[in-house]
Amino acid sequence: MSGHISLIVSSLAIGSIYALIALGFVVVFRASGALNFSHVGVMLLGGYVTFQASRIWELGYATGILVAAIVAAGVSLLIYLTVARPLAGRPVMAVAIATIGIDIALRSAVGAYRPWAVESIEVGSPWGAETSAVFGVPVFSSHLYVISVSAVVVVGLIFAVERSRWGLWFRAVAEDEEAAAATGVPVRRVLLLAWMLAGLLAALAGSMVGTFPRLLQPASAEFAFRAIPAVVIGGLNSIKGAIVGGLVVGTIEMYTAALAPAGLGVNAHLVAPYVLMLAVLLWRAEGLFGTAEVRRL
Amino acid sequence: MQRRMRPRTITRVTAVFAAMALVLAACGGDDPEEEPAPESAEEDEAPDDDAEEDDAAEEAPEDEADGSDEPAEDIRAECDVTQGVTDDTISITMLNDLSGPTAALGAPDIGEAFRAHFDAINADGGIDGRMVEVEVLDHAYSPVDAAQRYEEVRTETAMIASVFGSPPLQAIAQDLVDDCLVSFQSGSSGQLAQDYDTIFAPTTTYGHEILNIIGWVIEERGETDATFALAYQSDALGEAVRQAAAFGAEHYGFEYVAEASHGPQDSDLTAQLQTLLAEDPDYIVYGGLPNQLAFLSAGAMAAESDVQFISATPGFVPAVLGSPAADAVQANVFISGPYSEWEGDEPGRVQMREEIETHAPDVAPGQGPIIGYSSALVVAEALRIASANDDLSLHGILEASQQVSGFDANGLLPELTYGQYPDAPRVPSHASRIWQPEAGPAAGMVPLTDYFESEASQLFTEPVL
Repeated sequence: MSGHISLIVSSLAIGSIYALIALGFVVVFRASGALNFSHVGVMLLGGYVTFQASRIWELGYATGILVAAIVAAGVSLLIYLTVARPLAGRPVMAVAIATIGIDIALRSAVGAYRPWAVESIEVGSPWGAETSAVFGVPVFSSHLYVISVSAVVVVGLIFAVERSRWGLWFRAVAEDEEAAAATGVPVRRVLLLAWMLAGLLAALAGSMVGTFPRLLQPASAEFAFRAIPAVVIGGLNSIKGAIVGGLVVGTIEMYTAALAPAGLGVNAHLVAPYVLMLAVLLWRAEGLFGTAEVRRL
Repeated sequence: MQRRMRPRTITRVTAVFAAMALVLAACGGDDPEEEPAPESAEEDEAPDDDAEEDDAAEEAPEDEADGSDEPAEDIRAECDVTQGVTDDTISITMLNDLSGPTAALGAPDIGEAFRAHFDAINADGGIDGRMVEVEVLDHAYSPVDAAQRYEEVRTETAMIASVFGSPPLQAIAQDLVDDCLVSFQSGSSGQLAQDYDTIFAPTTTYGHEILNIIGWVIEERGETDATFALAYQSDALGEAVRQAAAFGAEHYGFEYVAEASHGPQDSDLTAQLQTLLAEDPDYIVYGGLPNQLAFLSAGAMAAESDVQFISATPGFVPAVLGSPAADAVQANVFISGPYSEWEGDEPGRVQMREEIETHAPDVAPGQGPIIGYSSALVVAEALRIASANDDLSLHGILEASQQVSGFDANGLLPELTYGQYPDAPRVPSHASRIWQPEAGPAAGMVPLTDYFESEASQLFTEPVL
């Protein structure tokens, strides 16, 4: 039983990070219909800015995350203003391809900055390798932090989308941008906020990627790529789907690593989420919680 | 207004990108169960002094490494050219990871230390009056990038003097043989040096390092009843360690009580650690990188396990001692490596520190710079011999590399004597030392032993890749 408790806590921790990353993809997609692959690079940048502020500038962990959130939101906003917005009306894949280019540029820039790139970095969390007991089983305290903060953020986001005026506008834009504009919804402001929100989520996820027992390095960008099955499984236009998808992917990874027979290969835990993703696509192409667009013929 | 794509279409597009990521994730995920057992693992019953060389001769891939069975006198047309050499300069190339996954593990420092030695040589007038120009290119630990960088210089450089990492080197190994370009691999498994006759290993291979540290536990610590588990990452490094570890188990007559593997970028190894600790081993043999070993080490300590981790050179960098895993790593990790200490009054170490501090002041002390610097010493020795032979053609450099003899890198490495295939190996040293991480010394470790070779290491020949 103690083994399962450790696995469950680790699954929830890693799944929470995937969920935050997935939410960034979903928020931008719902608001602007864009596949924003620069989210990967922004997440990595957020992690390193957290490190810079927390450990190099010695501002502390929480302040470090705050600084990273501001920077990441700004970068995300800049990407929207300089790339996504000018490409509005062009084929949608143009935005996707352009953001892939920005992602590559961002990750290259991070990798080229020697003080960041030449060492594996812990962003400066206060817990270090401390453990806490969960039902008597020692688990890293940082796992509990990741799970609880993610839960608060997710609940806050859902509340904002469901209950706030911005959330109403957001849902209106997601449903029909032109109709929303016609009814007086400030579409441009909604889009700006959505892209900034994605940046905030990316920064938070990036800081968690660099929180021990994980260590940050340029290749940590792979975390964001691993969240893509979570987006597809949950549904690209579903906030609830992103959360469930993230947790499912984290759990599948962890339990496959623990239980898969050797005959499945040494990377079975990395492949398993993609297998599930393909199964979901075959069964329900819009994802578990996504909604298919109804078109009148 | 932005035109919207239908969600289902978008989902499919996303899935395509995800599938691309899947391919990346699956890279290096060979199932070890499907691979033939290392031939050498079956050959430890009747060792003799010549076993190693005999094995090398038997296992040489005549087809893949075409050139390996050619006598040196038959100079191929590709070898009988001089490139990258003028009256004033010798141009050599290093392929290194400056932006990929191992960049964060100190790979750039290896390159900077390598270049520092040639800067020092140039400051003293170069090699017979020729300045050595070192071009460091970034392969980002990617075989594809390595092949592209190689294409950029293959007809212009006198040597691919050093290639960091097994996967990038593997990508260009056959080209190196075909183009007659010599390379001294660094930070690599060493198997390629055995398989391809223009590739030389300036340091002990990871496989031999692992066998030395297993032998240290059994032979030196006398823990003949110790139980071992095995963990490795799913790439060329992990595979090299896995095969050596399998040989060690067969030689010393034990079985691994548990095995676990992980991807090179996995950061949470809770599941793997549980699998390993469930069998309560005394030691975990680990073939992977420092981040993951730090996790395992700290996780084991958190679980109040007294297991100890034994690993090879890639398993540790001093930066780990700045992470929250520092206490655990210092308590339960031992590393086998073929390098000297950073500190000390021996002339070789003094010269190394002076040259690195002068020409690469940003480089932090550590095993990486020692390995990079030592590799540069070997490369420089080969170039000096070629220059003395008045033959800086590709063939001349290859021949000179084979003539490096009794070279100990000013005491920084075990004595190296290369030879001409198949009479002498291109992996001349199997010795290493056992180290324990410690925050005090500049390199972050203290030596527990001098250079030695375990029984298993003396008998082991890495299987052909």
